[in-house]
Amino acid sequence: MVLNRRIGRVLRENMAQYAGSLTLIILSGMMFTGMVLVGSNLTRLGQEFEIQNVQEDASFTTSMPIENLQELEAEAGAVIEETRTFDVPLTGGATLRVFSQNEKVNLPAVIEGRPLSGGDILLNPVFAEAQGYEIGDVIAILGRPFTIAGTMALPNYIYPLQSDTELMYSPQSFGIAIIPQADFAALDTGKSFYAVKFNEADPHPRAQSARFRALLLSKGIGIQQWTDIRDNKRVNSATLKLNAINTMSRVMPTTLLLLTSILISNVISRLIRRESAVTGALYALGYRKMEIYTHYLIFPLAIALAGGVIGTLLGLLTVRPMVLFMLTAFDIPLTAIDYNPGALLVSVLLPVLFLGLSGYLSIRKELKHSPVELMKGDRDQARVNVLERSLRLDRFRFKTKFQLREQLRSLSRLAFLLGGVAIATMLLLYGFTIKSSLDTFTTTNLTGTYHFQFEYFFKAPRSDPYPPGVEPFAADLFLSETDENLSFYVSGVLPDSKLLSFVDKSGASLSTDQVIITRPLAERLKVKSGDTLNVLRKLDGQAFSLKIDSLADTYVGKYIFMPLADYNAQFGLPEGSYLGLWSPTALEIPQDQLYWRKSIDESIAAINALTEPIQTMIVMYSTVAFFIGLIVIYLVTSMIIEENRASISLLKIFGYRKKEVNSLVLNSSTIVVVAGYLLGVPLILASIRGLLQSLDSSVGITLPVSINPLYILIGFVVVMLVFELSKLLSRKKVDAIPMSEALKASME
Amino acid sequence: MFIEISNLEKSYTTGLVVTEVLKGVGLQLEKGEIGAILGPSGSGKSTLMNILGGIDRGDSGSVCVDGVEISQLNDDRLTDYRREHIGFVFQFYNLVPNLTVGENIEVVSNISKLPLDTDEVLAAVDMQDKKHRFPRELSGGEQQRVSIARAIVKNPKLLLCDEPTGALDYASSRSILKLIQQVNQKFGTTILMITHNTAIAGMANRVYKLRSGEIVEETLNPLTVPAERIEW
Repeated sequence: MVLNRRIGRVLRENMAQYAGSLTLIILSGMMFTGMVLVGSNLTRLGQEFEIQNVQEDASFTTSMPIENLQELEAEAGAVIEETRTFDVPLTGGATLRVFSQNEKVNLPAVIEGRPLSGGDILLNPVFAEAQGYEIGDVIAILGRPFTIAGTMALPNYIYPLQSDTELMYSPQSFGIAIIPQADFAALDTGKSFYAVKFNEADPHPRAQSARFRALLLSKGIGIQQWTDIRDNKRVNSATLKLNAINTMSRVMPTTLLLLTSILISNVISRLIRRESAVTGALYALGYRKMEIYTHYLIFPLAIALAGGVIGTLLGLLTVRPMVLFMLTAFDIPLTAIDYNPGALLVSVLLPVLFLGLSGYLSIRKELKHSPVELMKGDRDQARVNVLERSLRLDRFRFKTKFQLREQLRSLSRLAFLLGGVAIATMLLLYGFTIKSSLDTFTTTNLTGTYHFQFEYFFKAPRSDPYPPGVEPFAADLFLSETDENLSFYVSGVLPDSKLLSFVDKSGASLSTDQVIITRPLAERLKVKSGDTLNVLRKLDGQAFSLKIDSLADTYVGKYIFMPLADYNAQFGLPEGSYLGLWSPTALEIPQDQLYWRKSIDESIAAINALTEPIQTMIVMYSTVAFFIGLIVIYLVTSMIIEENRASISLLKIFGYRKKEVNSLVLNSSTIVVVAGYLLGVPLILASIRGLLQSLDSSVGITLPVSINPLYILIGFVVVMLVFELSKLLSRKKVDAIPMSEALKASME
Repeated sequence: MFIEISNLEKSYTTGLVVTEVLKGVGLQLEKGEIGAILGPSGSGKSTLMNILGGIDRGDSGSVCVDGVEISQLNDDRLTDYRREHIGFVFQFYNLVPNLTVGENIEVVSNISKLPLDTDEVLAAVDMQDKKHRFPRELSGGEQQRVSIARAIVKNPKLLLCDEPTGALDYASSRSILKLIQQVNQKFGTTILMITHNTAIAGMANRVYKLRSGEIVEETLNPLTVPAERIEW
């Protein structure tokens, strides 16, 4: 059809709108493809790793070695393997936890390098990189040299925390390694633990564990420590993070792609409506409706298809580097990238669907008019909507009236600008909010609650004197009677503790001579002051009741604190005993007496290390937000200019100076841009809060969602800069409108 | 003379075609007079008015308004000239559709140094009760009244009317012409109208007939006819 020759020309004539729409679809398509595939690949890689490398169902230590493993395996319907391990300090101050190589359960996956042979060692990759180790380097372990054969991942150490009380992994201070069993035996050191993998998956894994524990006891095997895989923080914190990434990487870009498609549909509809005179002429000349549909649908479909395909292809390019980047946080081998065709199809077809549909509906609406009506031009031009009609603006300055009327002229255009700026704001503040929340967590919560530097937890209760300034405590893991997936610590502390401080919601200080529950746990269990909480001790399932006296407004974790004497009495510990010490300074305690040693500064350093990749994320999101904001504002400004050519021309005739015309027309969006930003701030806080709450099924910490006012200000400045830039780009267009435009126009 | 145009020439080039629109036009109008430019389509009426209104520039010749040679003004000064001294009334009214009647008048009063009161001007054009209406809610004649109100709110030295009755029916046209005459008498505004309706010439002090870019006839009319007596 000869008519189609004008397609390129029309696209060129409306370059700003079409190019802007195309870019917006490309950006959202790229984010959608990239993020959805990154999220799904990470989850899949994690799951495959757990299955292929036979992740344990539980690990345990016993009072004595298990003599006949094969018989036990047969009886329990499980695979059981003994793993030996010890910690060794390295010259740089870091600790390396060395394991013997397993053959049945928790099989190591070689990420880089070669499989183990005699005299070799495999390290976890993040630690190797942090410590500067290369393949072929030699490490001395207890005086024996080991050659680094490569890097590996262990399915029971996906997130290699040194102890399960830690929040964040720090590769600067801790790493894991495996060596061949024979080499381990030759070192003649270490302790054992067992990993069990049941042959049949039970829908009630805790009951399955309980049956197995009962079997062990029936054979006279005492259990010293038991950890179900779902309680293993080295696994579940990774799983939760991966789930968070997966959820986030679906929700955010899908919303973005959907909103972008809806927003662009609006732009396309307006562009089609602006063509009404031509449509009318074609109609009058005898073109059939189908021919007109075919011609005009090419515009939205071309934009949607081109944007969808280019965006999807660009998104595909980002998947591998992004997955690799994300895997620096977890020890999971990258076997292969799965390019899910369903996601690719959605990325291409969603814009096609929305733009095609809105294009079709717009054309259908146009074709309901007679050719004569269509040829008269834009019939909407003189129409006044209800809002415009109901507004009385007498008390405002003329400039304000003009700008308000201009924005209310088209409610869909208003919604486009408001929605676009709100989306850009949300993207812009997304990273900032997470960083701010982490900052608040470390600065306000950790250092505001804990006034000690070191925590030492002993393997057995003690009652000997401790140095002045040091405080004893006891702690054990408990489960909620109503939610067995929720584990938390109950801690016994001094009733007049100087090293702990809590405040309630009103900010009033809480004394530690009462039972205090922290806010994340109280919210999760839905308990308040005065309630009685039924809990089960995790080790033996024994039930206890605790009457909650106060709720502490702190996000340090899910804890219940109570006076140490009461703790000992209620949980059967000797009077005057304690299990750990809190100290402002380092204490000389032999390592073999300790389960763990924790430093608050190290925890904060680890959290800060975690925020480093967030900086990259902030830059990435901010860049995308910058462009989305710029395109949306530029598109709306272009629409305003195009739809007001006659008015702008008229203003020039009446003697308005360039600056005044620009100010009237271009600044009319200021109020909507500011409103869009103000709308975006609570929206991002609410969405992150909702997201974290939905993910807080058993994670050890709950982040207080907050945003530093400075970041709000920075975000505002960025949005306003984007607005100014868009105005700058649009200024030429306003200047280029000739005065003759009004003379030719018949506005009313 | 309040307006003195001499030897004004203007041509447009489209591709290889040069169209001479004005060929040495000369025109004079005293302060407070009504002038009429008559001519068929394509005679150059609108171009002449655009140049006089400071919207366009001539190629050569002189255009002097109230002692100011406007052909010598730069773009900024020309904007000031339009802003402070010229009122425009268009054939198709050119009201801003999303502004009310009152706000359409404010478009001009907003940038005027000494604007008249909006309500007073609306009363002068008998539109005071339509102040909060939108243009779409008015008849063509009413819209042209608003357009006149908008033009005179700045109390311009010169009111340029481009086919002010061109889009109106007979009754509305007579009412608008009466209003224009009233404005001239009440505010002493110098008015120049372009029209192809020869009957309107009766209310003008000077009438210029333009054909193919040249003044072919100039008539002084000492006995102007009141607008309500004009018939066509």
